[in-house]
Amino acid sequence: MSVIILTNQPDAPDDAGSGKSQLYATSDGKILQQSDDATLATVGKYSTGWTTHLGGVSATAGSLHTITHNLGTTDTTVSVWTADDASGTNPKKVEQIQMVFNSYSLGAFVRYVPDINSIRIGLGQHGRPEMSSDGLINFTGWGHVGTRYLKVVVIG
Amino acid sequence: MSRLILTNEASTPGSVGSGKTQLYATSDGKIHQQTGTSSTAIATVSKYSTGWLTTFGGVSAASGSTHTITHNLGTTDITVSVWTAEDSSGTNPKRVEAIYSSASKSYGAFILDNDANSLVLQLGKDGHNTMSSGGYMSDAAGSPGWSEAGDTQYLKVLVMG
Repeated sequence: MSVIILTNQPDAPDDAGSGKSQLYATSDGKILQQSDDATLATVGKYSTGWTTHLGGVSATAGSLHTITHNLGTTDTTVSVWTADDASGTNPKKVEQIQMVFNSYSLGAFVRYVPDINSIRIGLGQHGRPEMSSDGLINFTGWGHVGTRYLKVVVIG
Repeated sequence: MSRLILTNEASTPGSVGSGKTQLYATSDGKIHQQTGTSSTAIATVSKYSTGWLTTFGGVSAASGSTHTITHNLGTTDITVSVWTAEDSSGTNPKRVEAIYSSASKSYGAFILDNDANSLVLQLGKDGHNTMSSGGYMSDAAGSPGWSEAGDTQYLKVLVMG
């Protein structure tokens, strides 16, 4: 079932910025109200897509990546994913584990939120954790520099 | 402050595909923008929650169990969180974290695979662990399993995308 929210007077809408009051959507999923371009209380989403270079930096042990999402808020949820290739084959969500007893840092960490439009992701110096089909956590490396595909999804 | 931006031309809106420019929502939470008789979905974010359950995809939650969760959000760009509670009302909820202890125990939940409409949830072989009010974690106490006798845990998987 569909529910009509609003119907405009003419058959064709005016462009954003036309000077007329209207609602319009931007590519990140935000809905804005023009006359003052204020964002309504909608939630937007940003995805890096599958890449070996997050924020222009090769993903490898201990690397630090600045992800610019332009969502305009620090109230975000973040998931980091890994896959075998650029098509996203064999995707896994990257968890984070800090093993204090042996000083191991594994996985992907949200290290820092510099502003409302970006986050900084750090990759563990000792690789990433995985879980086998019987529920056992094991550890694996990031692979050779520039070969591990990652995707960061930010919602907020 | 709220302000009316776009006013309906009539007290009753037109139907979907009426030829009028309009916004409308579908039951999955998506918002569509219509121009004339064609429409496109705006890239809005939707949410799926399993609710508090002990069985997922027909499989009871247990140490080392594997579950397929169908969310039908139509995207692989998702964030996922797993929660646990003491009963079906969600009493004492805690977010499930991945923990590998000094005693080589595997706690928590991992997402092993996903496509546009489903994901695979893998539960740790040693259940889940949590932090005490004093900020401690221990292998000996406070580390319940998933569904062992007398220790049934309810789980909830929340997917946004």
